[in-house]
This record gives sequence, structure tokens and C-alpha cells, in this order.
Amino acid sequence: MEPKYILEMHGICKEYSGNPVLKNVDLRIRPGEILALVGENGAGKSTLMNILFGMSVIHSTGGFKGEVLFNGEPVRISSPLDAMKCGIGMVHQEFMLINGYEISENIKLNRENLKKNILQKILGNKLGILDRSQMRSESLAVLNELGLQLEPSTITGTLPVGLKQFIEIARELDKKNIKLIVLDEPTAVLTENEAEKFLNCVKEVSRKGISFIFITHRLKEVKAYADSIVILRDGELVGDYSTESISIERISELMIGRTVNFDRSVDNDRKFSEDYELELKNFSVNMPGEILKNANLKIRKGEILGIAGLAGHGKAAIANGIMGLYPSMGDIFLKGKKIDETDTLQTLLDGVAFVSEDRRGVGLLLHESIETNVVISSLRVYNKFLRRILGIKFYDRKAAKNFTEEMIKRFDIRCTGPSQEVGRLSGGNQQKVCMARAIALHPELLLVSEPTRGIDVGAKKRILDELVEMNTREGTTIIVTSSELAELRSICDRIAIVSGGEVVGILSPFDDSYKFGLLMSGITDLGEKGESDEIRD
Amino acid sequence: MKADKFLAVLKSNAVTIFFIILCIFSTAFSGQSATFIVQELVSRLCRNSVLILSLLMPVLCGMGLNFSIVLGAAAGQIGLILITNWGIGGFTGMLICILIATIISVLFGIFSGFLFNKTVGQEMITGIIVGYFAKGFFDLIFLILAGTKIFPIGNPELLLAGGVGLKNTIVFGEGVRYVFDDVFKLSLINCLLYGVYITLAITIVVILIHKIKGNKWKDALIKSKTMIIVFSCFLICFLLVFLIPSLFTAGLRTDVPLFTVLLIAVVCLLNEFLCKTKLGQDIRTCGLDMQVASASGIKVGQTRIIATVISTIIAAWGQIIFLQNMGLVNTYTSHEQVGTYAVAALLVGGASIHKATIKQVFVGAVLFHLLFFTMPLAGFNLFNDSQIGEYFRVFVSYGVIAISLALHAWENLPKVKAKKKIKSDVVAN
Repeated sequence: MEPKYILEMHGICKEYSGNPVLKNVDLRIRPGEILALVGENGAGKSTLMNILFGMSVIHSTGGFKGEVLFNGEPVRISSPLDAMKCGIGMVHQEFMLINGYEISENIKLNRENLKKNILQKILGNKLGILDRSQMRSESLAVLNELGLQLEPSTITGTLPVGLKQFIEIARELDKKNIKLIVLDEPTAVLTENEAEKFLNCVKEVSRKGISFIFITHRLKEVKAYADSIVILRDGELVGDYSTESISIERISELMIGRTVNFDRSVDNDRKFSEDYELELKNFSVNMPGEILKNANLKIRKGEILGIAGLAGHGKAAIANGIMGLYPSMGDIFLKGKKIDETDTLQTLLDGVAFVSEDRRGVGLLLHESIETNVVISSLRVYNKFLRRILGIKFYDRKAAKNFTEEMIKRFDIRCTGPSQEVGRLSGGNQQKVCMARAIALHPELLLVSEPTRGIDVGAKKRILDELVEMNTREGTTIIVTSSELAELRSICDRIAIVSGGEVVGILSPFDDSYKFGLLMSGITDLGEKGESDEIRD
Repeated sequence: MKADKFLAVLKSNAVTIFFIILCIFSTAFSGQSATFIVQELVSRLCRNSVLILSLLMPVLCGMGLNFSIVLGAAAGQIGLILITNWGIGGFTGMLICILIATIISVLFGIFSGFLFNKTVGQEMITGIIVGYFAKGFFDLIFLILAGTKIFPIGNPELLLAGGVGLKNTIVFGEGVRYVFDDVFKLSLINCLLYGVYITLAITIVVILIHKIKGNKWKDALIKSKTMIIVFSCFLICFLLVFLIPSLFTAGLRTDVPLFTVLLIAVVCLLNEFLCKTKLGQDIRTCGLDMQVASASGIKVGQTRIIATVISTIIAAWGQIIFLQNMGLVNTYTSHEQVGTYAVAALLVGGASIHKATIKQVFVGAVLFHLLFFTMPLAGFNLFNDSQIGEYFRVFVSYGVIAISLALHAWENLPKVKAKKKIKSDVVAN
């Protein structure tokens, strides 16, 4: 008798060095079912899938707790090869295709048809010669099954992006024992039209009894194509529903978190004059993996603006683009004056400071002392911490040391002293050093990216408090880019949401959670108009 | 547009064209007769081709130019020294030698393959260092241990006067020296003539097969393009040699060791065969994208080790062919430069660290070795100083690598820019 479920995962727990990322998660899929797995970045989706595939990252970090049943039988999957043997396939977020190969070679990758010869009989299968005509005809059959009119001898690199995703599906389907296919954000790179075509194709395949786990951020697609939905939040299973029984709003709410639970450290309804500190007009940034298209944003003097969005959707590109770190197009007006973003030094001189999300790469000189790291920007930009003796500029060691000590006290940087190497500090303390350097510049506009990524709670609070302090005491305008929505909601006056490379809306921190979720997944139609502060232009 | 295309062709072959020009100059200034140059070139080509061929697999596997073929060369040398010590010669001796060298080079290949897997992305520099290490190890065994109780050497003629350590130069016995070369020799002009006959015959057969399979004449001709090109090459070479008097004399006086040529052909075919197998496909996949390869279940590490082992084995065979042609071995230095010279030759042929073909091996071998022995002569003629001639030789071997790598980098520059432009266009739309 066929078992009821093709895959069951029971009580899955996983922790990375004492930090739980999955807590008692259950998952069940029937044959031919499309199950949507949704959750924010870092909710544990990838970890769950890594467990399913027996990726080495799981086993090298101490394995996991829980039970996996495939086809009704308990299985031990300890490598991706085991998963493949069971009949679990994966369509990756980035294409796992070789552009230089023809389609048939990609479909048959590592499962090539072979012609027999003498050497092969002696030395093993590896020396069989590829049977290209057989590979092509079998590939053609699979492509036809998917309703694609493609010549298997076409070079894959010449295909449009939309079709490449089909090739990946074709590869999985060509595996004769395939029973379950995991789709990891398969539509992220597709246009709406292409995504629709692709998902119809998935639906068609699922009718033949093949199950799918569908990971996505596009909730509309979930609603339209999935049979059931599993929602993860912070490593916990917060919902397991059939698609009909749940609304998009509810999914979104469950993803983000039910209750708005944050302490505001800024007055709730601050009024600002209509002086704009910064204006972006049709601003596009070509940052690899974070492309931003035609953003229009106005930031008022003295406010704290948050920029939220999912990873890879372009939120990080705004600050990096303004600082001229990646090629960009469009206009930037600083206090009404157009600036040339490629001239980073001039931008700094104009009073803009930037704390990069790439702390260890762009942000810090890891082998230098705390003191050097704190003063380097001001020294370079404003010639601060310099002393003139006989017309020659010398480094003013004393002033730098005093300032650094002051900063160490103010931020509570845990270190042995100003001369300690920054590379030896913990992540949180490194972040504090970055902040201290920005403060040393006394900026009028501060761009902060991911200020709290990967640091402990205490340091988080300190850094957020310091941002608010700068804003209220010195009147610094601040743009905070962060993946931590709750934090943005605790300090920002407005929050801009970036999705699919575009600024899709600006919300007040007090808007309902589900609105944030909807905007992040690219749904701009929030039902009720007027409440949200739409893009002004 | 046509001018653009022409420029593009020039640019993509910049390295080779640069060296062709250099070769023409240095040959012209060397002041040697055509006979000397042709003789020297043919013997160097036969001597070195297999060593250069050994570099192909690692390039295909994405590991760049395998400088660690020095290990393979050392293995080949060990085989030759052992059979000289045992006093075995002739074909039995060579077979034993090849067997020993193959076994040792498998071990060496696995060793350097493991190292390369630990240093992904830095295989070339690792290869160079492994080469130095191998030299030290080789010296330890043959300079310090050879002749002692640990490693007894039966033939006292091989040892230094003190009884420990091998002599700097070991002259091979009759059964080893020229053992492959002397099997069957034919003058160059006859070789070319037979070459024309044979390739013509093969070409006609291939065309007919395509015709019988039901292609039109035109398609049949197009499908047998490669054979027609090979045939034309032979024909043109033959006509040149036949019609130009100085080359005609050279062609008559130059003997081609046909058996060695056959061995080279076998290695070429082996390489082609491997490329067409599943193993070859795995190696190519690893070379194009290691991540995709491992995601599709290919054992990337293992495949890379196999590619290194193949390369090392072929290098060992190459060194045996090289040394039997030389007739003697400089015990401590013969294998030292093998990697550098082979890599330089391959690069001159137009290969890059991402792509290398058999055609490039032979083009490179001709150009590099032509330059290698005419440069010092030209330098001597121009400046009347043999020191400068020697300087040119060193310049050629190391400078070639630097120049061709730089030229390749230059070739790739505009492509990057074009890509950037396209991307920004995409963003703009």
C-alpha cells in the first residue's frame, strides 16, 4: 500500500554552536502535493532543507535531532547523494547550470548515457564514451513532457533566464526515481509572466504524483499554486494550513510576528519641516545581488528613516550607491544640491558618513588598532588629529588617543585599550568601533547598514541607543538599512520597503505587521489606502 | 565591420602572433642554415611534445597550468636511472622503466592532487612550490642516500668518487639511448609525401562515409572539414619543402624518428579519448563550475586528483622520451625546468589557464623551441657576446610566461567592460 505521506519530518531540532535555529519543526507532504514553505530570512528554511539533503554543513556542526521518514520508512540522509538516491531533487535559487554546455549535457549532468567499450569493461564506467545522440533524444522527450519547444543541442548560456529554470526542472524530472522536488525561490529571478508559466508547469507535473516543496517570498504565488502552507518564524513552526483556509494577510502576519512588541525609544509622532536632507531621483544601483531600480526617496532633515526588505532585493544598494561604491545612475540631491556620487571624498566632505554592512571587508582595517580605525576617516577627510610642526603635518597621537578612549567609554567597547587590534574584538565591539568612527566625522547625514547583524543583545541596544542619541542631540539625519524589522520599528520615523529592486512603499512603524510582510513580498495593493505614507513625488 | 572582425581575430591570437613575429626575427638573425634549423626543430619537437601534452588535463579541470609535472618528470628519471643501474636495456628495459615510472607518478600525482584540493584557486603557485619540494626530496634520495646501505647502487660507474650519491651526469647505455628514435627513421620530405598520401586517402574515405550516410555532397564536405584541413596542411608543407631549394635540402637531410612520432600520436589519441568519456565530461564540469559539479553529485576532489594523476603519468612518459633522445641525464637538473618550459611553450601556442588544445600544444612547441635555440644565436650575432645570448635564453623561458599571461589578461579586459555596460543598460531599463 502506498504510504499516506511521501515525506515526514518529526520534531526537527538543530542548533549552531548553542544557538537554536530550528525548534521542534514538523513537516508532512502527500504524494503530488505542492507545499509552500514561507518565512523571513533567517527563519530556518534553508537549515531545514539542508537537513533534508544531508548537507555537510549540518553534520559538521553536530547533526540534528528528530526523525525523517521518506515513503513511510525512516531514512538516514547523510549526504546529498543519499537524498538523490531516495528520489529527492532540488532546483536551486542560483542556477546550477553550466552555461557552456548544451541543454542535453546539463539535463544529463552526471547521469550521462554511455556507450560501451573495452577500456570501460576493464577500468570501470568512468571510461565509457558519452552517447550524445541518446542524451539528446532523452532530453528532448523530457522537454516535450514539460511542453517546451527547445532543441537539446542549444548552448544553455544563450537561453533567456526564464527558460533556464525549466531546464533545471527537466533535469530533476529526467531522474526516473524522482518523487519530491524542492524549489528554492525558483521565481525570484523570473518576471511575473515567466513565473506564471513556470508554476503552471510545476502544477502539471505535480498531477503526475511528484511532490514539491516550494520556498518563496511571493505570497501571491503561494496562494495561487500551493496546496498547503507551512510557516516558520525564528526556527519555530507557527502555522501549517491548507491554502484555502488562510488569507494572504494572515500568512504575512504569521511570518512577521503577531504582536508588535518593541519599545520605542523615539517620540512617536515627531514633526519635521519639509526641508529635505537628501533626495534620490530615479536612482539605480548595479550592486551584484542587490540591484536597485529607479528609486525615488525623500529624506527630511532630522528624521530617522528605515529601509527594510528581504535579502537580495536591493535594500543594501541604496546606501552603497550613495557612497559611490557601486556603479549607479540617476540623481542625488543633498540639501537641494546635486552631488556626484562617484566622488566619495567629496560626499564625505559634504557631511555624509557611512557604516557599511560589510564590517570586516569595507568597514574595518582588521589588523590595525582601535585608535587607527576610529580616527582614520576624520584624519583623511577633515585633516583632524593632525598637528602642524614647522609646516609639516604630524599625527596627533595624544588627541587621537584621548578621543578613542572617550569613545571606548561612551560605547562600552570591551577591549584592552586603544591600541588593541580590531580583528581580535567580537562582532559587537567591532560594530561599535565602526559607529565611533562615523561619530568622529560629526556627520549631518549618517547611513547605517545592518548595524545589528550578528551581534549580541547588549551591543545591539547600545548601538541603537547611540543612533537615537545622535539624532536627538546633534540633529543628525539617519538612514538605517536593516533586516531586523522590529528594530527599525523601534527607532524609525518612517520605514521604506524595498522589494524586487524597487521602493514599493513607505510605512509608519505603527502600521500593522501584515502590511510589512505584503510589501516585502512585492504586493503593493494593501487594500486600504491612505494609512500608509505612499512615496511622495 | 570587416576591419572590426579582423582586429578581433588579431586580438584573440595576440600572444601567438607576437611570438610568430619574434620567431621570424630571431631565425633571420641567427644566421643558421635552413638545414640546421629544421633538424634542430624536428628533434626538439619530438623530444618535448609529450611533456607539453601532459598539461592539458589539469587545464580542462580548471586547475590552471600544472607546474607540478616536475614530479612526473622526476618519476620518469627514477625509472631510467633504475634500469641503467640494473643494466637492462632495449624494449624490455624500457617497458620496465615505463612501468616503474607510471607507478611512482601515480603516487606523486595523488600527493599533489591532494595538495591542490587543499589550495583550490592557487594550484599554479602550489605546483611550483611542490616542484621545488620534489627537487629537494629527489636530491635527498639520489645525492645523500644512493650508494649507502639504505639505497644500494650496484653499478659503481653511476656513483660519485666517494661512493655515495649519483654522478652529475649519467650517460645511458646502448639499449636506452635513442631506443625509440632509432626504431624507424625517414627523411622529412618522405614523411611529408606519405603524409599527403595517407591524409588524402583518409579524407576521401571520410567524405564518402558521410555521403553514403545520406548527406548531400556539400554537407559531406562540411562535415569532413577537420580532415580536409589536416590534408591541406600536409599538402602545403610538402609543396613548400619541395619548391624552396634550401628547405628541400633540409628536408632530405632531416630524419624523423617515426616511432617517437607514433608515441606522441598515441598520447594525443589517449587525451582525445579521455575527453570523450564520462571521466572527461566530469573533469570538464569541474573545470567550468565546481559548485554545479558537486551539486550534481560529481566527486569534485576525486576528479581533480584523477586529472592530476593523468597529467603526472603523461609527464613521466614525456621525460622518458625526452631523456632517451638526449642520451644522458643531468641527474639533479634535468627535471628542474620541465614545468617552466612546458608551460611557456603551451602559453606561446595561444593557450590560457582556462583553455588549451592539442593544436596549441604543437603550435606552441614549434614557436617556443624555435625561439629557444635561435634567440641565443641571434643575440650572439647582434651583440657579439655569448653572455647576452645566454641572457636571451633565460629571458625567453621566463619572459614568455610573463608576457603571454599579461597579453591574455589584456585580451580579457574589454570583455569585462562590455559586460558592465550591458548590466548598467539592464538597470537603466
